[in-house]
Amino acid sequence: MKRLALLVLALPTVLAAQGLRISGVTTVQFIELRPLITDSIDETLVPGTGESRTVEGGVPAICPVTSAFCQFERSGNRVSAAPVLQDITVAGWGWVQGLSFRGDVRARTQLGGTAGFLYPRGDDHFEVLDAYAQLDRDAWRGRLGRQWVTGGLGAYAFDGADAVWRPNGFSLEGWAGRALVAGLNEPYTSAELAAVDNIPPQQNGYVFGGRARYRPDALTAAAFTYQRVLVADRSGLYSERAALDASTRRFGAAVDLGLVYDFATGGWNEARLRVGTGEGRSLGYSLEARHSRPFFELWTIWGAFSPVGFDEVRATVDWRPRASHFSYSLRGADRKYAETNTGIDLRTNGWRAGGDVRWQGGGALAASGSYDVDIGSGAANTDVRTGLGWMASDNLSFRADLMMTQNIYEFRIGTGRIYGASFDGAVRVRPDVRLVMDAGLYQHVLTNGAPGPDWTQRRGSVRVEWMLGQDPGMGGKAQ
Amino acid sequence: MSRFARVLTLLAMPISLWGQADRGVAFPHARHARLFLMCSSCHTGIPTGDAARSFPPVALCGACHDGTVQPRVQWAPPVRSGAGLLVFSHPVHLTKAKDVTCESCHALVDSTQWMNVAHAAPERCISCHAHGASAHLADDNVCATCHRPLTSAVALTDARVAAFPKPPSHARADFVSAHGAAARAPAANCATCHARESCQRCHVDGARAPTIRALGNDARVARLEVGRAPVYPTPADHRGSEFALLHAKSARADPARCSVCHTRASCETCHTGDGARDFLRSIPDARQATAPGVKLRRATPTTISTGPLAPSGAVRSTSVQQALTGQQDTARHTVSVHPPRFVRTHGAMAASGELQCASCHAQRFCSDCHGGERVTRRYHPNDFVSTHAPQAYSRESDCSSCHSTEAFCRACHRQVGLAAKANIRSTVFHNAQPLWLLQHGRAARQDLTSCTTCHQQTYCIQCHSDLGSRINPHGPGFDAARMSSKNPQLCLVCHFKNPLAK
Repeated sequence: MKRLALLVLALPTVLAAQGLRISGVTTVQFIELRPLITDSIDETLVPGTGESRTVEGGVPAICPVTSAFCQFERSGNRVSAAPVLQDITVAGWGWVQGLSFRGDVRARTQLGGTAGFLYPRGDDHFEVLDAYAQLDRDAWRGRLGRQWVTGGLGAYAFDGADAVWRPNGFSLEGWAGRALVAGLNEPYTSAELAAVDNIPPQQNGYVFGGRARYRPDALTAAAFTYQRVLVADRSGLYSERAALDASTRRFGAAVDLGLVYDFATGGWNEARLRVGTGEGRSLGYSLEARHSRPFFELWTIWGAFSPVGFDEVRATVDWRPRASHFSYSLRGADRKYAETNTGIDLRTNGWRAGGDVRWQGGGALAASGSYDVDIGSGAANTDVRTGLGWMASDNLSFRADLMMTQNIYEFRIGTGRIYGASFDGAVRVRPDVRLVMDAGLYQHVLTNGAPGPDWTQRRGSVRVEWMLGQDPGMGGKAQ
Repeated sequence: MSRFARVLTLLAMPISLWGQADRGVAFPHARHARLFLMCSSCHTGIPTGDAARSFPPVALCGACHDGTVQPRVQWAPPVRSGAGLLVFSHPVHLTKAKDVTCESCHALVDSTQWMNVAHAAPERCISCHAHGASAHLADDNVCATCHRPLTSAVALTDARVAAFPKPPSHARADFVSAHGAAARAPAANCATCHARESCQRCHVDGARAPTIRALGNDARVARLEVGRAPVYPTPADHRGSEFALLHAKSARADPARCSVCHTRASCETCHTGDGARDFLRSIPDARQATAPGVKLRRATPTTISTGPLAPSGAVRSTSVQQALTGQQDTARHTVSVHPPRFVRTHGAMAASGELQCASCHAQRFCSDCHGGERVTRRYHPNDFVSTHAPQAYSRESDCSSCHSTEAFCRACHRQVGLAAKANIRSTVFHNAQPLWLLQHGRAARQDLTSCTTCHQQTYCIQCHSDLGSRINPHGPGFDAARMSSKNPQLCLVCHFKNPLAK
């Protein structure tokens, strides 16, 4: 109801706008797979003794001493889902100089299918992504409503106010309001969060943040961001972090720095330094040093489990010979985890390497091929892809892809290969209507009969992108 | 050709030939050559500038053409309702140029016969007035020497204006894109043939460009321009692949140049954000624009699904397609805005403000991905659900920058049977590793985010809390006091009472 009230309140303002644009994306997806289910078997039919055994075919099973049955997992019956999403964006402006309104809403439902709400948040039928009024003047800008703030700490939505003061080359920004969970866009006490965690936050949070930016010229800038999310009763914090980001594009080089510090754990979540060539070079490279440690909000206990980070070096090389239809890329990374002090022998490093070749024909054809290998502590795979695309016109394009992924190992899913083929197409029916569709089949083959579930999937989607209204005054007139 | 048309053609031929011989002068001078010995016999007012007596009275014709001596004729002296295009004074020429006679200008070049005359050809004029000019309609000529601006030549009809000859320079391929400099030059000739409406057919800024405003309005030109499509050739510097990214500097240096072809709406096709707001105010509002302007259409950002092929796991940069829409399309090309892999490297550039994302993107553009639920598939390939595990473990793509691991990942893993069951004993271990429970400590500390995509907090609390086996999950560097100071309630999830409390 609150969401609807927000929209209803804004409606008269929107209708009175001199400029109004409504756009939408209607998406229908189809997903079909075989979920894992737990099965049981008479304990006497499972060879071996003890709790950990394997049933026929090497599938692991748990045989509790207190039970006459062993439990194991297998692929269940094939299930499908057809979620439908409708995004609507309304933008209005033109009342007084700099005043505008914007609203983005999303509706979800499902057509048929047998898997219930297989799609995430499929039972959350209506969502306001943002809805705010904005007054934008030369030296300052103010926003009120549900909005986003994006920066070095990520993207956060909140219901509140944001103000920016920006004299030349410098800006100061502050925001405050009811916090929404990052990546979920719902209050901390929302049913969506409670549905997936049995120790959900008991109180809402209030976000307070500020940012200072300095941009002496178009090629150099730096920003410092601080944000804390306060528990509603002020008994503590859900998070408190700061970020420093800087970039420069001088002397043909590109240098980017990003730091994120977590005051709750006293450690760096992210520290990146990337040096590379500027854009537009025939031969380009980049070298990046990175430290990464996961961040957890304080409504969860995960931060107390002392997660460790890793240090990583990344490199890329891109070569696009002049007057050639081909371009080539190489990339690689090597990382090493910090000591966990667990005394357990497990892989403590990982590396990644890959390359691709792209061919862009003089006409409408393009092709590419790539190979990647990713070896890590939790999962490892190799991946080969090739594809051919045809842009028949600006309004019509097709593309076909073949892929093969070898799942070398993974903590949770059995080893095997996935062979896939997919087809994509897009057609612009009118200047303001575009139809996009794709379909894919991904066949899972377990390696040498290794135990594991069947992850063969069929997926497809149809999307219609449309727009009503025009930019203000578009078209002009003779005087 | 039909018989009727042939008859019409034959009938019209003598009239046409007679007209050619007289070069458009209605009075047949040559046939009266033996009758008049001096021009001033009839044109008595010419030397003095007396317009009323510039042509003979009709009665003078009637002296002979009385129906008896000669057949009657219908003739009337030309009537000038106002100023024509020509600025000319017979008295001045006859006074200042002593050697100039009537024949100097009016005698046909190829004739020495008396009274074989015609209107003065422009070439006669430039033989004296435009020293060095190669031709009447050449660029190096100065029209204003002999012509007044079209807007002042009120005597001309629409048809006369429409019939103006087109200078050869106007037919050059680059004329439309290069005519600006010549038009702004002090000796510009545009006003002789053009009015403001001529320019406003294409020029968006016609209402405020000084050069165009100086031309003045003209109803005849306005009528003639109705229905003519504007022409917007793509300038050479717009064709580079980096133009979309680098045009800000040149645009800010010379907004007037942008304003020739672009309205603010044109810019706002991409610049939907706030960053370019100050600059955009210097571009004409489409509502006040005098021409449609170049209409840009933002292409749907290229995607794994629909765009030109991208390398595995990578996503092509967003691109802007400068395809014009509607019947006024005159140019089109595609340019890339961001470099390859930009989608994975944009963080620092965007966060620092070095890239002014808000110039082109609304908040929705960021939240479209970072909001946690994507519908347009710009980032992950179609089969990502089958292959995402390594990237998730290595945080090569930081899942939590877009997704809530609890709400998004865990919900999906639960639906497909991957998420852990509530009871440890009821869950089959990781990938057939019977001793996983003993090994999981390092794995958890290295990739704890991945754990949370399947396990709820209560799952771990079964062992790691006062409520369970009291196995201490804190590492050596754990700063309990710091974390407790931020949220004391957190400790009580696992501890019966805050262990730091005195």
